Amino acid sequence: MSEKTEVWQGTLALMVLRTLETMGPQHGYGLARRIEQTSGDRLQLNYGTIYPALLKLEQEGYIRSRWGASENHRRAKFYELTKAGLRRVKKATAEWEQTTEILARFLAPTEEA
Amino acid sequence: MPRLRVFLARVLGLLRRRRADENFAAELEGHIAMHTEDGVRSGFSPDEARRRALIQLGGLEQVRQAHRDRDTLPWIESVLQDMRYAVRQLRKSRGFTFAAVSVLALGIGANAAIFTVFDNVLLKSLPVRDPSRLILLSENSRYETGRLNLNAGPPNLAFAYPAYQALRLASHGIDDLAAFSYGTAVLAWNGSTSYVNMQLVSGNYFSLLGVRPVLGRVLTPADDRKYHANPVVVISQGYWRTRFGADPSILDRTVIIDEQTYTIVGVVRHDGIFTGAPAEIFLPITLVSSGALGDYTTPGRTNVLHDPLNRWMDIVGRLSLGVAQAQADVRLNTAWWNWRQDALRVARDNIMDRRGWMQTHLTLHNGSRGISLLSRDFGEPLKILQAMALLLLLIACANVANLLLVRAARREGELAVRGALGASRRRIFQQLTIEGLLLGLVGAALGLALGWLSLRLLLATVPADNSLHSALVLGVDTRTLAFCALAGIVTSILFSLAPALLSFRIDLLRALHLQSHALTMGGSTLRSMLVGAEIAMSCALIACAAVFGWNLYQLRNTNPGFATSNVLTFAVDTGRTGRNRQQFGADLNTIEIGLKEQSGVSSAAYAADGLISGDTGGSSITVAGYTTSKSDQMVPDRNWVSTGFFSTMQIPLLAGRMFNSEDTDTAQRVAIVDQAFVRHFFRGDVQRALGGQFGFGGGDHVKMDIHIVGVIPTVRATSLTSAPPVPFLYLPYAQAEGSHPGSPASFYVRTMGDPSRLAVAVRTIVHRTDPALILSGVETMREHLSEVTYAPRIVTILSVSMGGLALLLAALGLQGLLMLAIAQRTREFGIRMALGADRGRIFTIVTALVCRVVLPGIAAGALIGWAGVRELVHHDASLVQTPLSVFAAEGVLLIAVMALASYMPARRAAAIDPMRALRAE
Repeated sequence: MSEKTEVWQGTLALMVLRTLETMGPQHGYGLARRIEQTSGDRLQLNYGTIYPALLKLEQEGYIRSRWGASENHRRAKFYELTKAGLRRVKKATAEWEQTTEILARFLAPTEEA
Repeated sequence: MPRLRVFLARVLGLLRRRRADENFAAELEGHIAMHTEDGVRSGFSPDEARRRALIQLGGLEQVRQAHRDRDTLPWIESVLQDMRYAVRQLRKSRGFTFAAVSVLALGIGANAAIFTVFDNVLLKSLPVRDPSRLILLSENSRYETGRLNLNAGPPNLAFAYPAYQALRLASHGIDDLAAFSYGTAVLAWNGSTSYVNMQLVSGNYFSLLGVRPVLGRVLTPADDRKYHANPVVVISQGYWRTRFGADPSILDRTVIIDEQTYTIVGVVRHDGIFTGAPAEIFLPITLVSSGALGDYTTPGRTNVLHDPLNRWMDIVGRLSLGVAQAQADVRLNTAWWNWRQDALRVARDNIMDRRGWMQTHLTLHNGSRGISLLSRDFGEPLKILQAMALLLLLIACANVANLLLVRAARREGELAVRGALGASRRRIFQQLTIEGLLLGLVGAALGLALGWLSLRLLLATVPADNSLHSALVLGVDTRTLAFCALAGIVTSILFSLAPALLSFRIDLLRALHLQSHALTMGGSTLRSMLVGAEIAMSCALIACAAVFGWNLYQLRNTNPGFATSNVLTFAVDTGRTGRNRQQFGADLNTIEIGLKEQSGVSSAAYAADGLISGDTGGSSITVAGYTTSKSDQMVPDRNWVSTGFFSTMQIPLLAGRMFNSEDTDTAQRVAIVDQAFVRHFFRGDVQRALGGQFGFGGGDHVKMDIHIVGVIPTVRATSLTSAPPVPFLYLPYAQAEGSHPGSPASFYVRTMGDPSRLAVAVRTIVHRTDPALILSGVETMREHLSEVTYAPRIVTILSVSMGGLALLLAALGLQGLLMLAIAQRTREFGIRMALGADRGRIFTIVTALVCRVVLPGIAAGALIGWAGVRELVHHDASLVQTPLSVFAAEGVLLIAVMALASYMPARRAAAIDPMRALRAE
């Protein structure tokens, strides 16, 4: 799989939440970079798409934001998980694991055969 | 709920748009800066690093748009945007906006005014607990309900007290039944006397309606049981304020009502069941047996509370929760039938038509609106007026639709540009609809103001003591507001639909070259049809107006059969405690003599019932030698008059003699009857009538001791309307004795000169006779007659102004249509003229155009009008047939107005200069 993959619908939110969970408060650029790195540069991510996703999560109450200073002392907006967000990550992770597990059962024999 | 949270957040986002945009711009700027720095660190030149950062971001503007769409509700935002755009557009074309808004305001204004009255008279529920479960009872039987007394109250509501008691016992499916009766009394307090509207109620009345006292207590069933000495009264809050200045210490004070002392025990926020004539005091209904409240007991009969034949009160009930009206209907009818059978056993001798007595049915009416006195006289015309108003609104709608179509045709280019720039068809549709909606709402707001104003103006023409006054003296309430808003929205949808739909057909490319004719051509057929429809509807409207107008004209020109000029009338009532009726009779004579002594007075007389007062009152009679057939129970109307009454009113004598001073209390009892009486009881034989005798009451034991001594022509004594007059008999006031007319008495004074000049003298004479006498209604006979025509007059004013407005709108519509058609065909006309067509020919073409629109309109209008008028006359029995010539005149008027409207455009077409027309392009 040399070509980069588009981000699947609905998965970006989970990636953002999970990244925030592991890394703590982050600004938008940092999050985008991090997601790209975590995927081993195999995801093709338009950095811009992260902002509507962040806004949606914020409207849903899973994350909150505040202005702060970046490593290079730039003014940047930092996002962090709320309690509801933390619960959401747990739940979504479990759901996602279940889904992939089920899918894996379908896919495994064909690959082996 | 994250979903609600998100929605609220986005609504909030709508509001802080600017700050959010600035914030996000800053965030993005930071993002790009950090990305660029990282790029520079990995070896790119700053410019290259920035370029890469921007590419990776996915386009600055796209990100901003995506963020913005997420932050707000894009749909609402686009609506707001269109709204702002529409406001700008409407402000730019002021002429169009002014025309459209004023047409709408007229249409909605007429509706607002009429709906306010309509709502008040026909729709509003009584302000009591759960009014929807209230029912009113009425009975129909061959025995009691002829055509008698149909005008004297809500039809056939009256019951006898024993019937109420019997029905109440069987009240299964009914929470309870309460009895009530309406009347007026004279109330004296603190040295002044005045009339009050009273409602007699059974003790359970207030609890049945769920009315609680504001002060003190309400009447209770305990008040029913103390038949005679129970002088308590409950007053309405309104009366408490106006008469007693909202005095908080009013409880336990005493007032004098009809010569008896009562203690005020409570104040209620309740105006009785009769809407349009608010009750001011409430008394226990059982008090009538004491005789204190006037003449309830028929002479020679038992106590009114035990008399099964004396029907004098109404019944209101409350359905039990979850009980269908049909169920209760069956139960009550069974009880009713049983009672009728019992009553037949008890009062066998007094019931003449025994089979007719048992042919009876009890009807349950919806009681949620109470008994509207106004809806009886005013209800049917009001429904028709409301229908007319809605038709007028449709015409206004068609007019505005036409204006919009013309405007859309002019804006085709603009719409095409918007389309070419990427506006979706949906968006253009939305924009046109929003523009329409804005027009509609502004029109509705103005219409509301206009409606309110016209109601005020109308109110100014009605005197405060007329019952119509209460229907008109209304503020704007939420229902009228809602009605206007709805009218505005619905009409704007109606009139903006056509141009908005046509906008789908715009061919972008051709429109950009100003060659598309989607709106211009597609619209022109539609426009002709709209104008045709306007003409049709206005034709129908003026047909209705013509019927009302003709009726008013007839009413005004009715000859009542007595003199109406040079007559002053007024009423005198006894208002003092302890005054008995003999004394009152003496007072009346004193006043009569005093009046005759005045210079300029040729004669004076008085009567128990006023002329043209709407009061009908009769009792059944038995005429010697006349057998009452079972199917027809004719109950003649009657009046007690002083000796000079007929000569004063210039009613001629056909045969026999007038009353004279010898017809006293002790002399032979006499009567004068009218021609209708003779026709009915003596087959029109005047000579036989002159020897005739009759007595009051029915059955076998009636004393027929009243001799008919004179015959007069039939006059319209009680009302001016065209219903065939009921037989009428007159008795000498001096012989009134037991079956005495209650006070007041109405006076009639014939004068040589202007009767109104006598008013001051009247006041002096009455007060000189006794200062406690109540004088009211001093006016000339002509004033009195014009007063009773207020309702038809207002209906006529409203219908004629709506008809006129409709005609005007239709004419304007036609003119607009022609102007545009001619403007579009200027080139064609130019060519025709250049090829030899003369002006006459052009004129013919335009005339043909007019005829194609107007003639089908008039044809359709005549049909609608015919159906409408049929319906009108069918619904309102008091309307007389309108002669065809009136409608013909109406048609001529319509054609004349349309001709006038087309004259200017036609002249303009004929005046086209062919050379200039051809060079124009």
